[in-house]
Amino acid sequence: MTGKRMERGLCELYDEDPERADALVFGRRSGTSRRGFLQGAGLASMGAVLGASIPFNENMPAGLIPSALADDLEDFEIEGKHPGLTVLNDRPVNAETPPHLLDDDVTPNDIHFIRNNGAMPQPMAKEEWSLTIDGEVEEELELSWDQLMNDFEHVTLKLQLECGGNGRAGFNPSPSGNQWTVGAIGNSEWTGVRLKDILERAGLRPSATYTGHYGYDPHLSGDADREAISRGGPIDKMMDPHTIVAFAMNGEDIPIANGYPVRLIAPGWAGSVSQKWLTRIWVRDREHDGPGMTGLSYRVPRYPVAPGTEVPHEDMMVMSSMIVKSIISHPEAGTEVEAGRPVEVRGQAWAGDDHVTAMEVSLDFGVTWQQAELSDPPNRYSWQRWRAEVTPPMQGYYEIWARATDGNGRQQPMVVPGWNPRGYLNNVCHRIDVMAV
Amino acid sequence: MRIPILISRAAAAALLTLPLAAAAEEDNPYAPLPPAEGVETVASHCAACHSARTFVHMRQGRDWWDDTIDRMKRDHGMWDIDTETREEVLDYLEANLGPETD
Ligand code: HEC
Repeated sequence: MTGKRMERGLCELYDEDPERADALVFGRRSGTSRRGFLQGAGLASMGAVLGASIPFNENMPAGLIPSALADDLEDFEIEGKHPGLTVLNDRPVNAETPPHLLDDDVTPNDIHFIRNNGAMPQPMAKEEWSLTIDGEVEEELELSWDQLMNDFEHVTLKLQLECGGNGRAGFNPSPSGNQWTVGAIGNSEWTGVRLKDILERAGLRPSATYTGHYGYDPHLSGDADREAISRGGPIDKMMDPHTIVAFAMNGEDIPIANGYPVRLIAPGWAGSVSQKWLTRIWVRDREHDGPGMTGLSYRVPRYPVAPGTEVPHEDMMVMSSMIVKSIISHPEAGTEVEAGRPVEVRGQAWAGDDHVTAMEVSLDFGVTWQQAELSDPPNRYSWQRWRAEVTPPMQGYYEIWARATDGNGRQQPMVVPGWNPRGYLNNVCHRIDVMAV
Repeated sequence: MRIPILISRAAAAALLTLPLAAAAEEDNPYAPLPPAEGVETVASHCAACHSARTFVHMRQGRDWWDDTIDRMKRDHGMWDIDTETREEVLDYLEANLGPETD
């Protein structure tokens, strides 16, 4: 990874001025008054940053392998993940998939995006893991890995999982949060137990209305008494047979960055409902109020607002289903094509709880549209493959635009849709440029 | 070689494989925060839990940043900072990540 000369450089720096070296390498400063605090948090994130590049690393959490621990995120690689992912943040780790890498019908493990709210946890052994179901249930459960394997029916489904903030970078003024472009979406094949079956085993009380989910990832501050995030969803969504407690991704263990050993998948809703590193589901008699449920997070205004409006909290509501959207996964933006020859264009389309019924593409900035071929989803909640052929009539600069329509006739807009304070639900048409020569 | 006490043994071992690239960034040890007065204070309070990448793209006025400090305290357990430090942090954020900045 690095040469001897370089190795010496940093050691020397640490020798001369450890505090400054620390700030250089980890982008943080151990403030005098907060030294004790930073020690805990700093070490946790340091482990996440260094990951498996560490000799004898058994004791360190898996996570980022810096190919160069520079200030440039392009130099970071995440263990087990494709180097082509775009890393948006290293602490917490957030990385999206460029659309041309989303060309598989089933998203491979190394391609799936990562959205962390806390520090990357040290993987918990399957034997140590358990899932508590408590709250508004007749009988509290604590399920072991073996019980999850043996006591319930397993299902395997291709399920779309999208970050609620996917597309946030398109809003103006820029809302706070990760500046996702289009690639905070994946559609892997997940194997697990229907949450419905587990909840029925526990027996729902009539008062059961909502769930609250908990995972074992540490809060960014390192404070053990805080949850990194704890969201949930209405009981109806949780009783949907496609909402599963997943233990395998594409037939393999779930990568640590995506929730090893067990996570929830509530497909079609903001990814934060699908708690990673799942350890507890608290059945509630009211809307859950864990971190990520309150404030402005994962909420949208009840009525359209002008860009930049400060919306009173009582006028914000919790997001539910994601909305109709599509990407062009082939060709890659910027590709050179031959004038007068047909170009194959293809991609994926999805619509949260709904499905996609029509797909169109345009090669002339939206003046005319042609119907694309659209496949049925292999199961409900999977994204759908679409393809089309377009022919640039002469040489020049072209854009391919793609537009999906859902089962209720709702279409993707050609301009960025309604601004909202936290930048959710941007489903503007995806467009790429091609040069015909 | 002196190893700073806040680095664990495993992390120290890892440091041996670090490239020089980080050290080359010497002119701005607080990147991606823009180098300016108060950067050290801002880094120690706002890049402790998360990377400054969490917020350097924002362009907002002083009030928004002021609310952000309250939000960090309310939602994420950020510690109290005295008025003088708070003003220093806000001065920096307003001057370097304000609506008109870039
Ligand atoms: C005690 C830990 C802690 C400290 C200190 C802290 N933050 Fe945060 N901050 C968080 C956490 C946790 C999140 C949520 C991260 C996520 O979900 O990706 C966050 C998110 C943010 C966000 C995006 C979400 C939002 O609410 O707007 C901004 C902006 C932000 N922090 C700015 C700051 C600034 C500026 C400071 C310094 C005044 C600061 N933070 C100090 C813990 C902290």
